[in-house]
Amino acid sequence: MLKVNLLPAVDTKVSLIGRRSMIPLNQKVMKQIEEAPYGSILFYDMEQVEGMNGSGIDEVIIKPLKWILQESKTHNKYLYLINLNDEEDHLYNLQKSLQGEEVVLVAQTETSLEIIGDLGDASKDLLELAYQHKKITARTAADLLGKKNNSVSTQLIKLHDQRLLQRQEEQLEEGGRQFVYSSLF
Amino acid sequence: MLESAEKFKNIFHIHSWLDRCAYIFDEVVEYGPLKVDLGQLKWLTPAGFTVLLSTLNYLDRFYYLETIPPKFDSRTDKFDIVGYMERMNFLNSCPEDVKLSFEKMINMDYYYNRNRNRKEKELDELRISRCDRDIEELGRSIKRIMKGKGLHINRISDITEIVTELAQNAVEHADEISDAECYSCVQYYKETSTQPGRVEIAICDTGRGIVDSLRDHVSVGSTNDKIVEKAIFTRASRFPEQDRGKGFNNVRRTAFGWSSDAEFYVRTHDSMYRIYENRLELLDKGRYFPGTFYYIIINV
Repeated sequence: MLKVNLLPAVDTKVSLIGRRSMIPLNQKVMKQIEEAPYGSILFYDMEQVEGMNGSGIDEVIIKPLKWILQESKTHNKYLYLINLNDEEDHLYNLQKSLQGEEVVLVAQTETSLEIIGDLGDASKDLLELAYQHKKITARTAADLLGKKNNSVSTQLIKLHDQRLLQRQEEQLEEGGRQFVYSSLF
Repeated sequence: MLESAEKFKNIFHIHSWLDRCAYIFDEVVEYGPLKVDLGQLKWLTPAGFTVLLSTLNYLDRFYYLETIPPKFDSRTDKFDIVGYMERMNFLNSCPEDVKLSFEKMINMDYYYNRNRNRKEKELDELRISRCDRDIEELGRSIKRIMKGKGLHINRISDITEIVTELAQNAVEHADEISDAECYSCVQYYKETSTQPGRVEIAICDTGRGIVDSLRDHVSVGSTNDKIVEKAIFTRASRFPEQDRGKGFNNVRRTAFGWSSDAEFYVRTHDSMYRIYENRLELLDKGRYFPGTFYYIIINV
């Protein structure tokens, strides 16, 4: 796991406010993300962030996330958040900004995860299950949720495409292959 | 002479005042003394404050402002308008010649020496922001003050979102003209027996306005009203290469997401509009005067 440094050189906190002042931070973040090795799981430590608004979130979080999605085949990278701050109302601000966007984010909390962005209820349940188990296959998930293997498999592929789950291919002892999906944290 | 009405309260008062400023600017070509009569003024809202201050500062670049301050008579007036203006920091931010007129005609020491305890936590006064850092500080101050007033944390985030997005926009517009600045005033009024609790947000600048800023970046031949509509309802931006233009959508969504009966007004170029969730209504056309003026009222 690689931490993306959000801080400017001197300050100890950063405000994700406005567009113009966030463009240099976007460039700094993008450089770190692009230069990270293939397959990296990156995270933003939100403890470094105080104020935020929609334009700042778009520049520093949504745009890099869209790039990660767009370049998933060549870079295979992931991004999540840690240390969301209640005092700064991070979760509410992020939920609002990601509404209607084509990206979804996960944030690590003390006990579990927060899913930020538009994701259907069935996909949410499946994602939460995957994070509870850390590693899961379509077959196990389908058994646990009482659903059909095919539909769960399709949902897992989509969650992987959305960069919310990693995926590894495994050889089965009895022959054949299966995908194992694992959480980012 | 530029003369204020008794109330400087709503978008119609603002529009009318800006029309009068435009008339002065167009007709009074001699750069010299300009009489500004605030003698009748009895009531100012946040929008009135920001507009009055921004226009006086703008006109002061071209005229010497001889100001007649508002009159307060404790026997007949329920509300001390001079005290309110002083408390809101108007006299610290207005042109020097305006301040001198107040001090010449009113015993301002009485107001200056009043107790202003805990002001930084309770009162969001009139503020002027000139750069990105000022906007960050503005956001912090709003959070601090609204928290002190007991607003729900999500509502504080909404106010901060609206103010910082519009103020950032204003500062960026303002950059194009030297000395231009963003004026903001946010007030929370508790519920009374006659009125619901509400938040009023007023933001303005003295830049060239939405129409002139965007004209070269929207379809050729768009009317002024169409340009304003595109600025508010689409991602039209002066910087298309930077993939911007989300700020106004965020503001609109936040205001109406909070309260579907939010009142949202803008006065820019020569017209005033009411912004609804999905449409724009032209309220009136007047004369061109620089600046963009936003006024939002949300019932809490």
